[in-house]
Amino acid sequence: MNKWIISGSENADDDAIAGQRLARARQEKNIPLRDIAKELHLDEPKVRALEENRFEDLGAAVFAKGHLKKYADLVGVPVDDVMSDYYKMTRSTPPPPLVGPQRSSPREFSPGPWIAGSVFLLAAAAIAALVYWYLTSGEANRIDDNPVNTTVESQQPDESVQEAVPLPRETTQDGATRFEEAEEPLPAAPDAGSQAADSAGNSPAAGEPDAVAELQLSLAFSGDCWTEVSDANGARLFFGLGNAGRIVNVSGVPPLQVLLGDSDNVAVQVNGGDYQIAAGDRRGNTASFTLEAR
Amino acid sequence: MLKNILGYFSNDLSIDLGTANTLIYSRGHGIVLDEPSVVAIREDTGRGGRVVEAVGAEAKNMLGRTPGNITAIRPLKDGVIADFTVTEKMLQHFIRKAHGTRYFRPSPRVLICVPYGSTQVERRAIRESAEGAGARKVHLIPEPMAAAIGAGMPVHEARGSMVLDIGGGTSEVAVISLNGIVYAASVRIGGDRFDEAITNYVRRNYGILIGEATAERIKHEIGSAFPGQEVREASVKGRNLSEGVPRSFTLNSNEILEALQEPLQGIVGAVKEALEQTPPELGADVAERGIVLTGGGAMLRDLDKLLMEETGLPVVIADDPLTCVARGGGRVIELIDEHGPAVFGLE
Repeated sequence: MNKWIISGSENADDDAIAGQRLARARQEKNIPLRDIAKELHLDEPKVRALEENRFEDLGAAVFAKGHLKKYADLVGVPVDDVMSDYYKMTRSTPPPPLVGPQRSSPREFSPGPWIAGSVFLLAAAAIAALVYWYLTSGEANRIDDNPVNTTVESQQPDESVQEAVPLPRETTQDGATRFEEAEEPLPAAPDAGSQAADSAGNSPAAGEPDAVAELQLSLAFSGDCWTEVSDANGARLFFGLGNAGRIVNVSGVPPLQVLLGDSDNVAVQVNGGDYQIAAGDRRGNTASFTLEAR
Repeated sequence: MLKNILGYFSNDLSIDLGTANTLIYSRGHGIVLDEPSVVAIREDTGRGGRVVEAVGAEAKNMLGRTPGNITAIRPLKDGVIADFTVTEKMLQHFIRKAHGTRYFRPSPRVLICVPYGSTQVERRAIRESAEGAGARKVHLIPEPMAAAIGAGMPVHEARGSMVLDIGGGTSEVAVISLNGIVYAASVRIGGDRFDEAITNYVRRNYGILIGEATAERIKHEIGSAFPGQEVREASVKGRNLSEGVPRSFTLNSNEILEALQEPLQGIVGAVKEALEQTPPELGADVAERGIVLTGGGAMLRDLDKLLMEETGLPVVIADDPLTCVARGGGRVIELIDEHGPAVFGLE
């Protein structure tokens, strides 16, 4: 069956490529086309298509390549030369070599693990930052809660119970900010004078801000007004939107910093007396002023 | 959840989980792993259990050369799982090696090629084994379909394409048209049966016992499926059964051809059966274009000639037949992303 095989044939014309190279080798050996067709179990037109480089007539590339290799083997033309011609003609490439584990690993060629490591570091940093933020914000809340007693009253008769306003605040679905209600009203601030007298003899804390008489601030809202009230320590006594009909009572160590978003909607009382916002403290609807100790 | 996160750092893999060799195609990287499907297990009396000593090529070198406390085993038999736990460990090792990472356990999306004739229980075992090895999503595809795609056959056309994939444990023949299998059959004959036939031949005719590795070496060196003009010889060493001592002798290719007749006729019979069962229109397409051989068994010398003589049809060997299944699986993963898993009726 392999009667036409010769070794190392270089008889093909330099200009001939792929199938033409095979046809020339066949003609030089006087092998009829039908014999080649019989050996390849192909029809003669298919073999002729191979010789004329009409590879699409044989279907997919796998068939053309397979038949070219067999044909080259039959007429003694180096298979590598024919396949090289084929890949040039079809502008395709041979299958990539096997990437064996001993020759390479993806880690050597791919930056994936480095990226993965970087992402892990970033994620760890983000988590650490989140934890730090959570802890520091918690401390801020605790500071707010301790020295300050904030109560909110409603002018409506059926909601006349005093409300404590501890932080943290909650945001309702409509975007407004409200405060959680305490179950029991907090006791009124102790008398500053007696507290000072009590602590003067036996406490080293005498003279500290806690011993200073606190200011009682009452804000009666007749409309929406964004309000912020801070005490001498910088702690927020009130922070949020006041609605019409609400009265917010806060007490804290003076001086108290007050910011009103719409000062026309607020009536201010300090220690039970009306407080008139000075014209110099107003800027348009907003007002920002400081309440000193009295 | 953790698997999903780790999935972002893992490459999609196509795994040809073969009886003899496991190949892994990584998307964007090509074939990244080609290792024998062998695991060496050490009995650890101190810890009271079995410990994986070696996997892959290292373990294969131990086959037949292990001391009493180490067993080198092949966890797959006839293309399906014979030892679930060891297969899982082997897959875990291969997946990690394919990713080349030591920092975290990869959780890739995996497509595994399974024999067409495997049962639902066998498929489920393969799926669960892959999931146990860390895969976050497992697709299964019949091997002949992956082989045809990997060989570059026009499986999407309304024309018949016949592929014969000869693996280590099974041989699969299929006729494919319009991205579906029209007819397929799987016979439990493959490279292992060739080795076994050579071992039996040598024992029967020479009274000498040779090991699996030696039988495989003989097959690679002088194995042939069709009588040729050239007769090749190989020197072999084995244990003489009557004397009990190692002896050296010479085998030639004609003897191996004789030894391989039985398994080869089984494969030829499966192909003829497939041709008989194929609808005539598709059979005509196959007769016009030919049969494509893939798998490691396709590299047996002159196997294509044997099939051409037996069937009278053109037979061609695919480029790089050993990796066709894995490469085809990789292409299927890309097609899943483009068209969804329904394109090939994947599980």
